[in-house]
Amino acid sequence: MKHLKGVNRKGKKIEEEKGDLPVVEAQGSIPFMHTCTSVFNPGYEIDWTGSTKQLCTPIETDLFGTTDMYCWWPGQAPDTYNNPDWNADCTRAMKDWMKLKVVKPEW
Amino acid sequence: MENIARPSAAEAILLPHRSFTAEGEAYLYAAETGGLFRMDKGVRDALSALASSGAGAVPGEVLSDLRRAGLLGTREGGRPAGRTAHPPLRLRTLVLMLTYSCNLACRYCYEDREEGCVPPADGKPAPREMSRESIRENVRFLLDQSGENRKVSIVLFGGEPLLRFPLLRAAVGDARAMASARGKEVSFSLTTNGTLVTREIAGFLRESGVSVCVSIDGPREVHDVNRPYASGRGSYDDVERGIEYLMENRSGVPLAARVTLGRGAVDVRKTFDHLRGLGFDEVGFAPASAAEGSDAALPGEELDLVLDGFRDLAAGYAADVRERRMPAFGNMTQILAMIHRGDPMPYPCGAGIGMLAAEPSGAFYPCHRLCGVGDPMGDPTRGIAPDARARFLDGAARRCESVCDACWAKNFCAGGCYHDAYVRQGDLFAPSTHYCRWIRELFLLGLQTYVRIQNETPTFLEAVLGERGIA
Repeated sequence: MKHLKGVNRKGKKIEEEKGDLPVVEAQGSIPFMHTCTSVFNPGYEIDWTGSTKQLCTPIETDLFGTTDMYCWWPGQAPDTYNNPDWNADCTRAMKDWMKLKVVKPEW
Repeated sequence: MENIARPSAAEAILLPHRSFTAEGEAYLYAAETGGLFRMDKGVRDALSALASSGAGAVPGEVLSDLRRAGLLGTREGGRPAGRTAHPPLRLRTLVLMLTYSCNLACRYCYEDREEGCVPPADGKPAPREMSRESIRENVRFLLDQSGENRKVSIVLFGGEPLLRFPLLRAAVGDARAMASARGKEVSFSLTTNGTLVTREIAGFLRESGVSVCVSIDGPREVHDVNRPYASGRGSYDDVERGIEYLMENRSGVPLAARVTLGRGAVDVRKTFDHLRGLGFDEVGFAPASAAEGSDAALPGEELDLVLDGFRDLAAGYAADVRERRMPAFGNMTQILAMIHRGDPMPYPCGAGIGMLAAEPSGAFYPCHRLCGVGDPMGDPTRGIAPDARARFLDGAARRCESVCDACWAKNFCAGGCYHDAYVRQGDLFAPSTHYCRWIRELFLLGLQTYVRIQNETPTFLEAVLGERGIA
């Protein structure tokens, strides 16, 4: 492995493992999992178990949970690799959401 | 020429992971393998590209690294390693519910719930006290089932186990004799409210090498509100005296405090400092299991305050390690040990796998908190009830494979405590989604602390965490 360096015991073990793995023909995509229903299912009023307990919360109550790619309708957020500080002044999203930084892409 | 993967219809998907920066470097935790890696810019760019819908080409070499680390799967059976069967019972820990009686009436206690411990079986109330014969049967079962394990562990629990000190003393003596007759070693730990500890008891605990965990919730004003006697009188003075006796009888075994955080009392730093001041070697915190909106349940903003307190303690933890002091923040030691080993964990705890609880009627349950909840998992004379155990582990696996599958913190949480889910949602296998954000933030704090210690004092990780068991 040239691009990843193992840090914990498991990471080091993976790094040391020999043997070629097949090169994958890959295209990124957003997997959607089981946390929300799809448009063809009953609707957003109930979750996949038929109850309301796991329905989406408003973005400000779970800023990180609703901006990652596993959310069916992810909130708009800049990528955190190139903009690590986008939420630096926003310790509690419920209160401080107006302090989230606006990120403009560089062209 | 650089190997470029072309976009194709049989696309790969990104499996749950978390990237973060710590100590000025970028890191990546892969939930499928439990591997933690430092990543270079090539991987950072690839993750951005893979996560956006219009993914461009990613160098094949980077993809190969990502696949190896457990970050790439395919839609069709894309998991690198699937689980097909239940883990075998590898009994290492048996919790003995010596008695269900308790001299306190803590405001968050789960024992007094109607559907809590000891529901009447066939209309007759189940016994509340364990007999000495029952203890011996249970110990025999533990030794029989421990297989190649030379070391087994017995947790003396209740109720308040020191209400039955003569029985407890007999249990320790019997278990030790039975274990040594079979060439095994048994360790004991006691969870107590501390109010009944006398000099004699403290002396016995030291001589017998019993490790003691005292349930204490902080300074007097907090503790007395949370943990009063049934009369309403606070128990702090009695616990403090008990702790004094334990301190007078210190041995090499660390003395631990277990703090339950209830509504309105979440000053983690103050509590931690207070308990360190009393002499505890280790302090662990847990939010009370309580129905939503109940008197004890922590509202969201208080959970945030707890997290702030944990961040503060985590900074102190790293500083302790740097200066070669054994850190006392027990939750962090647990998290770091888990990260260090990096074994993917599809169950939230060892309940029904490496641990069982035996209650006074003789029945086994998956853990001490689940006594009387659901079907018993067998008993020491007839052995494990395979159907009940399979149902329990099926429920646990189903939960983890559905809702939690996409979460990068699943190895840390695996859906959360069964008992907490039962109390809050009436279903052992309902995922504790009310804690999701909190758990992810806490795990991230663990990852960042791990990296910091790895950079500053790497020897600590293998020496201290490598051998540490996970409760």
